[in-house]
Amino acid sequence: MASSSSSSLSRVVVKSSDNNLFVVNKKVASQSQLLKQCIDNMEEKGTNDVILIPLSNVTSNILTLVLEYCEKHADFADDDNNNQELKQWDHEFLKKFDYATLNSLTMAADYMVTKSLLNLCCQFIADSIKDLTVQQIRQIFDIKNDFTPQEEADIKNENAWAFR
Amino acid sequence: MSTTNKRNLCSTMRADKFSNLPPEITVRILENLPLADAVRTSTLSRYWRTKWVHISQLILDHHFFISIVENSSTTNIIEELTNAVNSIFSRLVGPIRKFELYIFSWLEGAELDRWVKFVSGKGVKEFTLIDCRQPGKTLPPSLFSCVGLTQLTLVNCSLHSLPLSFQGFPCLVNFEFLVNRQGSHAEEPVLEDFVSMHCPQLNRLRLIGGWCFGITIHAPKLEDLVLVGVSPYIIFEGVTKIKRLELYLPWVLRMQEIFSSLTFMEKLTLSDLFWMLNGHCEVRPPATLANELVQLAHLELIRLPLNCPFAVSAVLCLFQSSPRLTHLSIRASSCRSCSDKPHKMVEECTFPSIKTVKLSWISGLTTELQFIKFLLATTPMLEVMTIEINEDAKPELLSFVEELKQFPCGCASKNAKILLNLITNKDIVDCQ
Repeated sequence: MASSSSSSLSRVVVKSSDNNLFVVNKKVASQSQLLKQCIDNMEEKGTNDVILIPLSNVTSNILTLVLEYCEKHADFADDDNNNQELKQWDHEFLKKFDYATLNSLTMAADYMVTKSLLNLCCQFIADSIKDLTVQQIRQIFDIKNDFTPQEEADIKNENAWAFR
Repeated sequence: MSTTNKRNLCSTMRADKFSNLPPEITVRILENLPLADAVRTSTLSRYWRTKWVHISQLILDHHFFISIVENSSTTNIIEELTNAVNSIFSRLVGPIRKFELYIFSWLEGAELDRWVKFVSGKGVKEFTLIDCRQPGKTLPPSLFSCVGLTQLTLVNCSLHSLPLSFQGFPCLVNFEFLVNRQGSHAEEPVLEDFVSMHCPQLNRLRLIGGWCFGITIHAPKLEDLVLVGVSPYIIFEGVTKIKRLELYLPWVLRMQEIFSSLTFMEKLTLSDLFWMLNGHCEVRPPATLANELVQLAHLELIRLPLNCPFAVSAVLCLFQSSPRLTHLSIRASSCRSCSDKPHKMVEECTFPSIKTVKLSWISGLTTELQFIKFLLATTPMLEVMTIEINEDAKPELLSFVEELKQFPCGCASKNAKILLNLITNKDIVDCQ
């Protein structure tokens, strides 16, 4: 394994935007391309210190969730992404959150370049609004309809096929 | 998602956070919606009006066309379908990375080509064409001008000729050709020419379907190959670097010939079809292959009939010829035309590289028991053996494994762990 052959430490410290520290196994951290890049850069410089990575955009409660996801996925090899058990776990994992959390988690996944988590969140949000009417989506997301009735009718006409 | 989940979301999401997501994430979410749902978001609010036009994946699949046909109020369906597609094309603003098109049977060739030309101009990279017209219809010529393609999937398409002006797909790494009809001989040289002469970067090739032909492939960068079919006959020309090979076809008689050129292979998957061949039981596979599979680490055998002497000898031949074989996975089955008499096994052989063995669908045959014992006795470095057994398997087998778990006397490896899982029949039905 790469981490054991290198002389540096096997764990790094990640700091959340509200200044909490998380000790993370390198293999887990590498699920995030952002963290991986930071680790690689530091190691290239040949540091023997514990690597500290501050994340100015991610709060502790969201970082906990991202790391929980990374930890689970680090246990599976890259080609195991179609693993049924893992898919089931992913679904159960996201099901627990309210929309505000899901939203922050999506942004954190984007910021930390955890591509599989980002894809998963986008798919999950899409699935949750699929088949809903426009009115229902507005209600759920508190979107204010700022069209005049005429404007709304015109837009529907432009894409008539989608509104039958 | 279930309705209860939707309700939960309704009650907890109050702030309009959705509109505050970065635009690129919003577009990603829209790309995960069926096209009609994505287009409907244009009436949510002014902010949402033009969000969907930035999507870079355009999936005009069977569901898309069916939903239009089902909700149609006019009698001229063809016109309505083409109008819908043209209206979508006229609004999209960015590049199109991924395009999927279901070619419904009444679509005119000229219109089809116009659509393909449109996505070609938008720099399409991943292209899937599902042809549901009568066999023999030509592919849209503009397909061959999509020079940026990295992935191409052709489902039920006829490949009768390549345009003279076709310069190839210089970036194509992944090509899938699936047919559920009998391939015609006229297509063989075209397919051969396409793969060997026009796709220099080809890394992954899947040929799936009712083929009955022979082709010669020259693909120096090919690493992944999946062949599913009745009786394809493939010759590799020049150096092959194939690392992962999956065969779902009867080839065992030509094992020697096929595998001798695939010395870079790291993972091999063979299905039941590989062993099933009329009259195969009289043929004796070689003891070892002429060229060793020096890189082979993973061997997966799907529906291996452990009571068939022929299949077992072929497997032993693979074991003997693979000095680095580490992970073995077998899903057992049984051959109807063979009895369950114990095999004459090779004596005094050992497979020191094997570390993990997974056996599933074990039903309690005498020959299965013999094979398990044989593996345990010949694998000195074995770490874990997992055995999944049908719950209605013969009691001798269960007691045998129980015994093994406590007294690993028959094991060559002193550190081997044997894990036994009982699978009910119901689970097996679900697996299928």
